[in-house]
Amino acid sequence: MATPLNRIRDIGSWSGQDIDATVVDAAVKQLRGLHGRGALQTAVFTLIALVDDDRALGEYASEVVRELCAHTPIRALVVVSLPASKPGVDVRVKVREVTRPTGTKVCVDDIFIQVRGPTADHLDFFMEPYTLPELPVVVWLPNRLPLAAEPLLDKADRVVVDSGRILDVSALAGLARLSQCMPVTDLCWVRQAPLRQLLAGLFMGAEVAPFLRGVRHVEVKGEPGSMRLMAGWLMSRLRLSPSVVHLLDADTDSIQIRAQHLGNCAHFALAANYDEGEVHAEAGIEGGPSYHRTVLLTSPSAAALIDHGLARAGRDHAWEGAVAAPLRIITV
Amino acid sequence: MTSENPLLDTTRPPPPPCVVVIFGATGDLATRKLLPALAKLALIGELPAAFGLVGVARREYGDEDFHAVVRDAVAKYGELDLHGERVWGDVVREFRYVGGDYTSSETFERLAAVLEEIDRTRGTDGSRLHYLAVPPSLFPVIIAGLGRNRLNTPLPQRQDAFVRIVVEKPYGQNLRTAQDLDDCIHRVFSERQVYRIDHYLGKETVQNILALRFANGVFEPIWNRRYVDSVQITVAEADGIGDRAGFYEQTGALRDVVQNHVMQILALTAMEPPITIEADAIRDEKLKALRAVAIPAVDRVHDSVVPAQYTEGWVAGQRVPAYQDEPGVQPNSRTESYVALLLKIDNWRWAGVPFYVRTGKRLPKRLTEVAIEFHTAPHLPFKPQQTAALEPNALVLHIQPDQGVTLHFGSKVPGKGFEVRSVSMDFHYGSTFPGETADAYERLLLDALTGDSTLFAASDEVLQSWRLVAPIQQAWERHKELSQYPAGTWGPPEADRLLERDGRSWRRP
Repeated sequence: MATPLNRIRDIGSWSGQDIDATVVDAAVKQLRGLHGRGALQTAVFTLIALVDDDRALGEYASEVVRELCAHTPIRALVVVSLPASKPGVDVRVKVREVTRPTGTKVCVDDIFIQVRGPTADHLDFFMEPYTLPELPVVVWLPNRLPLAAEPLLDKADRVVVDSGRILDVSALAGLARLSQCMPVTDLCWVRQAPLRQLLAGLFMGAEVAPFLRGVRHVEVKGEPGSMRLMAGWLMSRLRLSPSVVHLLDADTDSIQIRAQHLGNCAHFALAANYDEGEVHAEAGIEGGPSYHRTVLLTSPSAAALIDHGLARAGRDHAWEGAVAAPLRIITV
Repeated sequence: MTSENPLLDTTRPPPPPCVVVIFGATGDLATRKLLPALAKLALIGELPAAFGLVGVARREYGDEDFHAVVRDAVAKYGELDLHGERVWGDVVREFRYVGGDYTSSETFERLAAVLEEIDRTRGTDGSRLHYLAVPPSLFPVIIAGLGRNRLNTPLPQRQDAFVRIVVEKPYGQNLRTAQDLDDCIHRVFSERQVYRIDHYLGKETVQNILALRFANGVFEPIWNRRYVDSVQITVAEADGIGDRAGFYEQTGALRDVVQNHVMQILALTAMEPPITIEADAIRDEKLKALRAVAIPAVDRVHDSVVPAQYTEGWVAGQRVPAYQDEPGVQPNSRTESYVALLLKIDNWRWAGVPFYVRTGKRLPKRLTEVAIEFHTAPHLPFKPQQTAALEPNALVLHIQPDQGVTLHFGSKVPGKGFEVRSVSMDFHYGSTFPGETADAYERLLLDALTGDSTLFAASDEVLQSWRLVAPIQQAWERHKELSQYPAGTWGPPEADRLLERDGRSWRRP
């Protein structure tokens, strides 16, 4: 089930300083004109990766966007914001040909913009001409959560974050509030989807379902951000008291649940083995049925997570409950 | 059941616990299609955690022999890498096998005992999905066996359990045998339990016909006789009959493709908007569309139907033999490898709009498409030579191999003069949504497990499809004027004349 890879070939590149979006658009069109399929452009949204003053992070965001563009028809821009620097705008454009495993060839653009000086504080106005008309604008913040006053979000229809990388609990509360105004895609939540589905599936069936109402002990292991989100999900969905939920730092994710129903005990467990690329789940009722299941677990790239996450439109109330819930655990 | 489990993602709940029972578990369909599809579903976590599989076949295998069959089938026809095969091997170890004669009650008694044991130890709740992956002649005997042994309904104490049965095509050989099969099934199963599979309907683009038509405001207002001049449905295969001569000689293009795939595509193209996107609402509208298709009189069939057989020719650079020279085919065979037909739909939306259908083997390339041809503009304010290269507008829905939509429209040729030429605007699913698409069997198995019958044909639809082709079968029994076409061409001249007499021509796909 290995995914075949795309083949990528550079077509041309261009760079300019202190120019506006019209010039950049013209440059992109000219570069696309060098390719037979260059006139063909499909896009479903504009993605702006917003990076603060961090060169390594800018390179990382560029890599992710490059991979995303090769798979998903979007206009993607990496914007490095440097408000404290000498005013100016630098733009680099690269147009590449991507040949998909099916043989389909598409032309994709990389647009990297460095915004310096006061303009960086007004990205909402600066970026508007770069967005595609009538299509949603998605803002991806690779390493942080949105600030209280984040001008670019005024132009965004959705924001993408990764709560797994966030250690500041108060910031998570802000994220929960932001989700009331704007859909939020949390890459950590997307990454955990197969684990949640597998765990939920353990409780399907007439004999096991009643145990969901008798959960006595939950133990969640994993890295801090990921673990809190998973525990928050269980707490909010099962309406558990914080005293039932126990968190333990670990390198890999696992969940143990003990429950009772009509005097019978049952256990449910899930353990991800990222080295082996699989996750093992099992359930058993004392003196009753038991079953286990192993499924393959891929480690999707950030680009794949963004792609999957954006496939779901609207608010996700289960996620909102999950990001709100860990606060209660922490404050106990 | 899903409402009791707050952990479930209600946008796509996984299938509930159940046991899949495959009749014909060591046969071609099971090994080539079903088992690889189940393996894929299992490894990506789409099968229920509490799951069992029982293979039933005539061979006297033990469980371990069956495990070897399953592993080999998936290794040969599946898409698993070594890691996937290892994990699948663990899943397979729990599968069970019941060997025996389908006419023997003892076979079904042993099956019932195995199912009870799985329910007890694996928590599968008494839910079953019976899959008939056997020749149609065995359908009645297996269905009767399931009924006799009370394997057709859940036990009374299992309130949430389900028992469903999946029936593969061909669903009968004609209207009478289809009706007989339907009666046989309905003596044992209610219609809600029956899932008549047509793998064509698992295709994303067939479903996208629904999305294109009913999720967009721009198409539906022009999807009628006022704007549409004609509709062409093409289901073309470049391959010959391969090693299926025994099956194909008994079936032919009419029964193999027109009665099922074509009628389903026609119904999806012509149907009225459903009230909801749920199975019953869609089935109701499809049935209404099929009921509106005019049934030709037996003595007029030859005016609107052209059967043909391929002669030797060239396909994809290879010289290929005539149909009658294919291995296993009778030298004087009268089986049609091609059929073209003109259908009319007698309702307000489509009155007067011809639906031209063609399907065949050894055509130039494999493709399935629906072309909606629109009326020409009522007045062209150009000189005739300026629009000499202008074709009528057309919207082409590509179903396979490349899924997508193409709109053909006129555009001015750049330059000083004023010349209008047809151009096409393509939308390829592969370019816009390049992610992996589920195989048709994976999708249909999952739907059958979750109880979503949208992509399965209802009894009424199947019988109505047979009613539509019945006069053709009767006319051919009396006299069949079999035309010929060289392999590698789009069909015989007689099929061209079917359109030429209306002032139209087949599109060149």
